[in-house]
Amino acid sequence: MANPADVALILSRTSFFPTQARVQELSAMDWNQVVAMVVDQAARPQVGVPPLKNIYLSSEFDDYIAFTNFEIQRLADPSLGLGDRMLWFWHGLLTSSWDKVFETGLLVRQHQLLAKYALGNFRHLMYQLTVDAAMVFYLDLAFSRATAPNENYAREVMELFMLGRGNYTQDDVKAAALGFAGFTISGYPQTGGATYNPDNLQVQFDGSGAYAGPLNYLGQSLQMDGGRTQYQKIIDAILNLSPSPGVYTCAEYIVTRLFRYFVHSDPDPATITSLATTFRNSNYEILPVLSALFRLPDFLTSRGARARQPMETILLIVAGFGARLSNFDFFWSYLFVTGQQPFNPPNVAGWPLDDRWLSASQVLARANMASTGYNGAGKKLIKQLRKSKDPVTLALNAMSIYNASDATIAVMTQAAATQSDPQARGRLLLTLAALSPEFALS
Amino acid sequence: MRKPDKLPHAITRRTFLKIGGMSATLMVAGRRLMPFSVRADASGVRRLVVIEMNGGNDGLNTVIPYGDSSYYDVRRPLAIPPAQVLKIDNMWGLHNSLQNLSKRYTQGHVAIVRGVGYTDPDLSHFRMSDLWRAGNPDGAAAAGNTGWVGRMLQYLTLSASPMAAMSLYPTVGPMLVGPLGKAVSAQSSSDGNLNYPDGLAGTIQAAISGFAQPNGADSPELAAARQGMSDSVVLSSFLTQLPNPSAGYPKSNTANLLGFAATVLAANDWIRIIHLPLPLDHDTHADQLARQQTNLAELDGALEPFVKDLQQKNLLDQTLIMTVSEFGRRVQLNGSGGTDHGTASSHFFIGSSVNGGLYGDPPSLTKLDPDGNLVNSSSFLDLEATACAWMGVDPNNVLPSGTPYAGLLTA
Repeated sequence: MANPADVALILSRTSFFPTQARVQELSAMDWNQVVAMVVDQAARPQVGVPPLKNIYLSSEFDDYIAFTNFEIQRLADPSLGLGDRMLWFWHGLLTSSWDKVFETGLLVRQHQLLAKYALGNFRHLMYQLTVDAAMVFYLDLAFSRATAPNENYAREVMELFMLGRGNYTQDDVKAAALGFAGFTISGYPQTGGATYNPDNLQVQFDGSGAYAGPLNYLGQSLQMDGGRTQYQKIIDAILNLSPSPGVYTCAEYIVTRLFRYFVHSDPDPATITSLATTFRNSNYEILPVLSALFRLPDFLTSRGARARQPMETILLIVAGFGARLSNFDFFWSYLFVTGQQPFNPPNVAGWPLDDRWLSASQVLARANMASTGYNGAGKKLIKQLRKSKDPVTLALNAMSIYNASDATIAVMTQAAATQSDPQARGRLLLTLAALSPEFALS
Repeated sequence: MRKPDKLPHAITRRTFLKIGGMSATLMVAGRRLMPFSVRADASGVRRLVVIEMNGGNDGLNTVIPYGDSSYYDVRRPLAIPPAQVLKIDNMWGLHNSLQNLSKRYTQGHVAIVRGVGYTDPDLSHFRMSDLWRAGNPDGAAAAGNTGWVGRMLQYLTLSASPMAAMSLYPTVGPMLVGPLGKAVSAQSSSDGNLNYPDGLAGTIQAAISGFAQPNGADSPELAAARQGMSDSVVLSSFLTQLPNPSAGYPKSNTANLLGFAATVLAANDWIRIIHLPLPLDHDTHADQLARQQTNLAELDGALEPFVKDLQQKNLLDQTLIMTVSEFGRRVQLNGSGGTDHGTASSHFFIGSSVNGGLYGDPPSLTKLDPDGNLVNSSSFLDLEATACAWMGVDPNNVLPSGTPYAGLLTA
């Protein structure tokens, strides 16, 4: 029988919507079985799409809101798991944003691409992402010719997506820019106001804009033939870098990002080396890394080590109250106010994993969501709380909090004593659990 | 057909609420928190207002060398006709939308610095914004992920409050991030309102206070979470006790934010730096004439009542307003009636403590850099050094290099 606290931990890290029912279900299993089910057997995410208006230059905001709402609602599902967390991990790392790309249809297409490779092969993900229309537009490959190469994607693919600062030179940026040049996007409607099919927006390759010739890149001599798939040589060259002491290659960079997202912010170098070796040896398949990651001793001791980001917060509040997302009909404004608008990160660096999510304005926004949950709490859960001998612990567990501090328990116990009505008591306890400092941490 | 490069514009809550049809959730009138005194001396300490013109405002059409014939040679048909330019002297003038600012200039309250940029310019919004905000030529990652204002806070004598700098935006800007923290974000006083369930405000507030108590057994993360809760009590109380903005502001997003900013600055001596990313899109790849006309008019129309408001509140002498922007724009127009990302630009320092006038060597319009862009004569680091000097902080403590513009500040 697995420890429910451990089950709650792995569920809150691998799922957006960890319910008590699911914790109880999995606690009946052996821990190794839990990990196998939740990690090794994780399902590929399936991105759904609502009908979009697709009226060029005038329905973009409506379509963006529609897709965002649809996606958040899709994620409010306890049966989804690691595949969807990985989808959003990639979205936060390999960023594009609505407010530059502006056509929701292209963001949908990119999201489906990330979903396809979420648990799959990273090399192929990077191949396809380089020529994904949303990305081509977002980082200006659409305007890059060998005679006037645009360096934006070339730099960001190394700085933010694959290698990290300091592991390449400005000459490498220029060389990569040459290697990536020659793409554009065709199919835009000629006038605003026209209904259009975003499938018509396609990335095109124009050989006359491509570079042909030798390229010295990351210490490797490449020969570019001026052809449509030569951009893959740049990606391959990044992945071909050999590790050496103190030098980060792509494998170290990616596994470090994964460790920080799923475990804690201070990985041991030996752990990173080991995970990176796994990643390289699997020819850049993600799942073997994840299988190793969640089995590290570091994982089980990392409870409370990372600040929840707003998307996690709002979905956990809904799950924790046993409520429906429709009870929180202003969840989008919560995400806007807290600065994690889906499909619209503030810049190419995405949404950092740090203390900012614990700050004053974040707490105020969460307080309003918690107060909303008070009335929306599920009847079944209220009944359980009413009957329970230890409703404080039950309320905390509902919010995926195990091993709360004595201080938090004392505060909640004292507050509960002010409510003579057991229903009101249960609701208040859930609200306070969602407000507790432990709730802000995963 | 090439689509114009669109740029992040801050969708203010007002615009968002209008568009989305969502209920004014976070603006629901809530209950005040327990009484929290905010009476403290608002005068005597220096303030800084940093106005961020995201997107890369075209400096060449903002501070205009109308007396230089090459301006018309290189910029026609985007050039502003001499008859429309608000003239400063025989050579220079301001964009016609800056009516109030040009009057302020004649009063000596406006210092204009031309040619501000960077010796190794990059044409990426993200990259250059990163450099400007970090106050570091290699960006935030080279500065411990801090911003220049965030670092500057360490050298100010601050109040005991947990708040010292405020971004008028949903989240704290990277410019304000620093080792002390002490940066908050808000866009109106109603951001402090909390819609507690009926009859439970007192109980929940007491619980929050309990949660916020520091505890020796806490992990660093839990301690940080408690600190955020503690700060939220202070922020909420501060915001809900602010009066409404003064009358005299027009109805625009920028004016709303500046009206709010004036109430923040007047409340007490807590907030020393205000950061305002303008809710305007300056990235004029297309349709530049019309868009800049509107943008600058909104800015001008909001700045003047703000300056008057500060004057009335006896704050103008201690307040310096400055503009920043990640870059200017190309000299030559593109094919879409606009200009693409460029380099050097002009920026403003506004206040009763500036020596008004023109500063900075203006870039040549004909001797351009190898990319065909304006060559800068000073750096964003010099602009930021000037702001540090204003606040009484040695710029060398905050920035890797940079020199305040000689004679720009009166003291």
